[in-house]
Amino acid sequence: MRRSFLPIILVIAGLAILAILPKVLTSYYVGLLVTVLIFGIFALSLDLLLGHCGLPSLGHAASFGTAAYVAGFLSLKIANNAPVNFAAALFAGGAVAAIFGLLALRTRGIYFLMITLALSQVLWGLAFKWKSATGGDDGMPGIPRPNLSMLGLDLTPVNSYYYFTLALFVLVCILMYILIRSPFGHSLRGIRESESRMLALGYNVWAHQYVAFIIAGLFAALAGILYVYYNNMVSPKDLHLITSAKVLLMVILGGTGTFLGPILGATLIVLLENIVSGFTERWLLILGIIYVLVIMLAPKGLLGPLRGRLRRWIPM
Amino acid sequence: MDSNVAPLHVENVSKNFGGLQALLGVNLTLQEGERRAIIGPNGAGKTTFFHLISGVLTPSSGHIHLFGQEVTSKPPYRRAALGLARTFQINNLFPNLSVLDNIVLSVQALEKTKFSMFKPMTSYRHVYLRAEELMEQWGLADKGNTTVRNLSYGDQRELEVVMALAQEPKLLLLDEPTGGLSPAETATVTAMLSQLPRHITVLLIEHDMDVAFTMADRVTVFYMGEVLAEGTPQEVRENPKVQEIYLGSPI
Ligand SMILES: Nc1ncnc2c1ncn2[C@@H]1O[C@H](COP(=O)(O)OP(=O)(O)O)[C@@H](O)[C@H]1O
Ligand SMILES: [Mg+2]
Repeated sequence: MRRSFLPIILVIAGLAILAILPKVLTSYYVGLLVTVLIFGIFALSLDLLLGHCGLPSLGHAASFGTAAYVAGFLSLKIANNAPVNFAAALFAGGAVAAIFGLLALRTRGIYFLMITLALSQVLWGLAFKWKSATGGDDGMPGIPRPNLSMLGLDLTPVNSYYYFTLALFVLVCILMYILIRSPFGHSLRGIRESESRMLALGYNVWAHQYVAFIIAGLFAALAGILYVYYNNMVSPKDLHLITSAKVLLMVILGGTGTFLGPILGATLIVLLENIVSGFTERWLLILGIIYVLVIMLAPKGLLGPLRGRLRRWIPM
Repeated sequence: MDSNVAPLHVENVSKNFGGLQALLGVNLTLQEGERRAIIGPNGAGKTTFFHLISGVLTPSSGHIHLFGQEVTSKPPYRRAALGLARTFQINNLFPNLSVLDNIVLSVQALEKTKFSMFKPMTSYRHVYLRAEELMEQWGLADKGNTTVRNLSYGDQRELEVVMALAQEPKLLLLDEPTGGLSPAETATVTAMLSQLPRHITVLLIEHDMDVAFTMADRVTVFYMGEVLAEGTPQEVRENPKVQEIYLGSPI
């Protein structure tokens, strides 16, 4: 039984490292870590759909970007009231998922991919064209960090914002882990494996998928909120196919349904994008090449070979 | 017996796929506890008939009642909730999950807690105990941790039946449970089926005549989408029309 303590020790060690890193890194790298954590949440949320439900969404930026716009708009133009703005933005991101889910879940496979893509591009078009509300192509710069002074927190320094993001990242990991271990999570994987069998067994397949779609949207919305406050700005690209494709690549690169995989994928892609963008404008080309390489060399993702061992702790 | 409380009552059901008339005016009523076999050549519409009963497809016309309730256009999961379970002619399992998890999903299907998102699945001890009991009973006990896609075809075929039994059905539809099995495996599955308690009503599609005629109280013969004959195994065996379509095969 001693072996079962290993993951707990590893998790604690990982958390300790994440807690200490800001003390030893320059603020530039702390900022990079914030981006890693945000995309970690975003990738985990997509993996609930891709890894556990088998639903390949190519429009997951819709909830992410919508929440970012709502949080940004309210903070900039109405009031920097963090609890209200967080709640409103989460609601908006969840509502987008609730509406898109109704339309997209009528289809499967490549059609699901196409319709999620098309729907999210509609939002991108809206953000692009509706200049008076969204600032159009330029987006909305100058969005202040959330004001949590009533809790005695000043999130303006990057280190504070890092710990704030880390706390939410840990919360998301815990919630996601609880969810995938639950009867509901088991049912999602049954549906991924065979919808017709699950229907025959007595499961309302659609209801499970729809609830999962909304939950994934809510977690993506949280990532979007953290993202807009970190960058102090939001622009149409946060709703764009490129963002959806990037998070999809993170999940596939790390390994779908492996929990740690999407987080690893997010880390690698964020770091790589950062390094590469220092000396070339052709980030998209590189992203495409990675995509092809992963599909050819490691179709099950970097953690694919560890699946058997991870299965002991991570339902997949 | 009053046909309104019959486990299954099918009334004048037809199904066409575009121009193809797969079923035409089929009637069939099962008594509680009955074992009924459906036989008929390939393409006769037997599997389509199962799809209509279980709700995978809806009929072009006609009515289907389960336990006295009209279910003609109800989704499959509602029919399962009434006590219907089925197996598939082509294995329809959860290939990347373990045998235990496959059965657990079956046992859990009609539990109210299946929507729970908070407690771990493993904390529902009674579900696991029931699943383990079933594996013990049907000879899968040592394969609980095996991933289903790594099971032999014969074991997968058996699991196909165990999954349906785990639902504790009142009416069980079996679509060629011995299909593709060796004679030895066929014997195992047949023994398994003849052990089923009598409170389960069984409708069995079977291409193996020996299995069909030994297992069934009554036999229905499908031919080109219609019921060609129905009766006791003896009556069906002696029916000239049946002998004609099975010309050459031992009946
Ligand atoms: N989904 C479908 N679409 C079109 N034709 C179908 C479909 N399912 C079955 N058929 C056709 O209906 C007929 C009956 O098929 P089936 O019920 O599978 O026969 P059986 O199980 O008796 O061998 C066949 O001609 C088959 O090709
Ligand atoms: Mg058939």
